[in-house]
Amino acid sequence: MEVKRTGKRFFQLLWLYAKMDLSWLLRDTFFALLAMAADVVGTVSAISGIFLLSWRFGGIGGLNQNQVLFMLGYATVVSGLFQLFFTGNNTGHFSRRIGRGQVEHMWIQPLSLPMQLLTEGFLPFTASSNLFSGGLIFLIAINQLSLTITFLWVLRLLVSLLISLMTIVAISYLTSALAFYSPVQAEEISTYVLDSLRHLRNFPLNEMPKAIQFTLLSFIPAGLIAWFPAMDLLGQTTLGFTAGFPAICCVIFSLLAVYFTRKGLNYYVQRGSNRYLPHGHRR
Amino acid sequence: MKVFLKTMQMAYWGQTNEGHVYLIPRILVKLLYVIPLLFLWKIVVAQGANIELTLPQLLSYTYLQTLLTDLLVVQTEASSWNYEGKLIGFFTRPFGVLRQLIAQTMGTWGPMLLFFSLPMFFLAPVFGISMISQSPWFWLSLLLCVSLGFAIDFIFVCVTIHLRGMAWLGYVIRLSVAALFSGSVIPFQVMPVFLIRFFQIQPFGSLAGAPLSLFVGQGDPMFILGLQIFWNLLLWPIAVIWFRRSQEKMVAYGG
Repeated sequence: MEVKRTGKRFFQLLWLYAKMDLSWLLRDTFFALLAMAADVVGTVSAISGIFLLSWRFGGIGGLNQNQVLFMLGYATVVSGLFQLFFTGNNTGHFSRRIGRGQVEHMWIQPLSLPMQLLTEGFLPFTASSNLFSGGLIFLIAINQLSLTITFLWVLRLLVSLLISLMTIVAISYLTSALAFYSPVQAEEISTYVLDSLRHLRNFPLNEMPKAIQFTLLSFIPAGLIAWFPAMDLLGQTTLGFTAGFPAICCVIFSLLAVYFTRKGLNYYVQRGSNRYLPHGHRR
Repeated sequence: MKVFLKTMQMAYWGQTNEGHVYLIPRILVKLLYVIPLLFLWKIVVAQGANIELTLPQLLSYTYLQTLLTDLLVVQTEASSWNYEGKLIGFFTRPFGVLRQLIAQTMGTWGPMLLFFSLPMFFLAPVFGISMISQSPWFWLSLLLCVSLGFAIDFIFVCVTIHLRGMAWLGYVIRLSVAALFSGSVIPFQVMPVFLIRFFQIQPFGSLAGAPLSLFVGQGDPMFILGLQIFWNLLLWPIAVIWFRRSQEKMVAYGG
């Protein structure tokens, strides 16, 4: 069977998933809106703790409350992008697909694995609520900070958002590779790691000890998802690293993710998965 | 009781029979989560914040929260098991479904309690953190917190059943409960003053925030315990009756 990899096919599939998403929204509007509202509540709650803290104390860790809001808004936009492109069919939580023995379902499709993973998760209508709410928070913060917006600044913002998004996806796939070896225990590992990153990324790291800053900018790159790019966009220096540092880390994590996913897939081909009971449900 | 303990044991094995090495990522993530939070409190106090809690109290609060995360905001797998069809298997066993869920969930707490919480408890003095409870009522409060956690979780399961198995919805709302309304991450006492009372009296405030406050010697024990008892007495009957009525509406999609 032919495996199609063309760019045209990629956009055709995105269009197809967008239509399917829209049809769910139109056919089952109440439930779709409920899911969207829950997404907003969940994300706003996740950032509210740090924001309320900075509000009470007029800022936190060397940042004033508007700078904290800017960082949290950036973090929410990144979350929104992740949801937009990687929520559907658990493509952003690959450990679930592996742990549930669903990877072989993908091998019978006339599409390459990366093509499926890059398109299946696209939900432009029902998963866009976080992007809008994050965008709103971000715009309020920009307004409060009276930032001068130039074309170059917007370009830097877009590149930063893309790098932050790719870093999250790389971390998710890197940790998901564990599920090839331990499908039951590691089925939810990507959820667990991403949830932890979701909390960690909200911390303003400015006055943290250097060792913690370094750890959160390297081994556990929560600082690369919001704090570092937000500080860079605000024109503040961060540990003396250049603006290209997140991109270098992103490439390293992506290469590691590809290497370990391939290694895990080879293991999976030999061992398979025993997660299904005879009547179809999971063990 | 024997059946209950055996179910717990099976759940424990389910977490470890592929090897304890797979606990390491979770342990590392927990450690890397608590350390910045501990430093955040040091930064807040260093900037001269006027709050009810002292630095040692804030550190003990956060440290204990990390050790007891699973117990402070209970989360069973029932919502997702309902969606996936796994919950159906529970009805084929000669043991109450809710009791199975409780035993199963408590069993899954075991590995992290043994291999993370216990060693970290003994290491606390090394980090200069006190792990001595400032109130004898802490243990009762913790018990009420776990009990209330199960009741709230079962109510979420019922909501999920009535929303045609939308496990995602319950999951997202519970994330927000854990992040903000339960007081597990940030103590209510350091929130904006006008919000403190609201956070304390809403039902989720009787989860993590209640025992942790008592542990560090904050709050009136009678008020905190009274609220916890009130929410338990109110929400448990709702959970049990609603679950019984909701069973007929369960729809499973399968794995």
